Amino acid sequence: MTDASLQDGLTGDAQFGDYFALLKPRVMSLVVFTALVGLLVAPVAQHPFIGFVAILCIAVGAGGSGALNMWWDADIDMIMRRTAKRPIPAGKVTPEEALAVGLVLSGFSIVLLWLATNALAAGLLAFTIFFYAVIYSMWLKRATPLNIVIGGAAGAFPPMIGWAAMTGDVTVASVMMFMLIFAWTPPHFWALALFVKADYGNAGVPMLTETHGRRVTRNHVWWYTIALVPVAIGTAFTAVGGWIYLAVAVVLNVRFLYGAWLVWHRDETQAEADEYATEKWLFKISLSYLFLHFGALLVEAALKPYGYGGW
Amino acid sequence: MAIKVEHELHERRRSRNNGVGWVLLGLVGIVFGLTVVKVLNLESIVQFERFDHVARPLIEPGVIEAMSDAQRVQMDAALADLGAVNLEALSAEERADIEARLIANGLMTPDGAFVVEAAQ
Repeated sequence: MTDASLQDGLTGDAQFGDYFALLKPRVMSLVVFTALVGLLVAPVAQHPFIGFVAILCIAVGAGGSGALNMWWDADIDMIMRRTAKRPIPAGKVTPEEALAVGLVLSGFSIVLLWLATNALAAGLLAFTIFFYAVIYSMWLKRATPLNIVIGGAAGAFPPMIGWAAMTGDVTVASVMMFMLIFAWTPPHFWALALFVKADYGNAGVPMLTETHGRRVTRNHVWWYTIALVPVAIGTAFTAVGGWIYLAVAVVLNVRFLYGAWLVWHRDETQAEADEYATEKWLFKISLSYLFLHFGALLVEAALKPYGYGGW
Repeated sequence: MAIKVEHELHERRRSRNNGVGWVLLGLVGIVFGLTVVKVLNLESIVQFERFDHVARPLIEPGVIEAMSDAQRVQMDAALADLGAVNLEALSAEERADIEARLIANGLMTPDGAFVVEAAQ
């Protein structure tokens, strides 16, 4: 027996990039950005190297939970076109290896964050990983069409962890940054779901567009956007907000409300006629929406030493 | 005879082996960097070293009780000058603080010479 015969079912030895792909690098980039903002706008400054290690730990922890998600969802990833090329369904990495990578990276990132910063930040990171891997992946994802509403919390924790890593506490400001991502996720995702013909149904994953139809999804986009606006504007009045953030938030929210209102008032015939142009536009502005809100918080923090940021 | 023995497995797994090597090196670098930063961030390394690495008679059990009456008077006078009372009731940290003040007032050398002299 040669070692090649042990690779039955695999297409060859996994390369380093295949293991890296388990960490969902694209999701990680959003995590790094929002965590970095949470860390930089915190009123307590730590040594830059501590900040660097904190961001690295948050990113690796997010990556570890991504690997755990791929391990658990390997069966449905194999069925859906969007995910069929992931390392496990592509036959490059075994599920056991993905589980090991996920557990090791999660454990290391939590312990290292604790050593580098404090127990609260490490605890929040541990909870985030648990929330994404267990509550979202194992429980909610296949159980309810509102999976992304509650599961979105996992993606909302990074700025709160960044803040806690610097200050050692949770405040109204960090909770509002969490709420901003949490409330932004549903309309962002449902705008995407309206124009992407995903095959979640084949995989047994209940998505709102398939379980309740597109009309209901359009209603949800509108009403969840209504819920998002006060959170985004309200953040302006916390310790991290100021005139600049408020001005940016007002403009962005008026634009986002307009887009959601258009999507709400359209039907499928209109959408198909222009190939979902409005839905695509709403999805596109939802990306810049979050980026610019957090960018404005960063500007506020950067101007504070010169007496301009904040109220 | 060639010293380097290359198996095809080495070639096949070169990428992941190199990757794991770099990751481990990075981890070592991070732990080393963290250690340096944490130690340099201590407020006063001199004070920290003094607490750990020199004789601390005031926090050793039985030293106070073993003092003679004359030594005790000398100590009480020093404490009274500093506004402190009832040495036995002080915690180890408070005694260390008293020591620091004794040193600051020139009543004890940094290596604890004053108390050692009084107790002997």
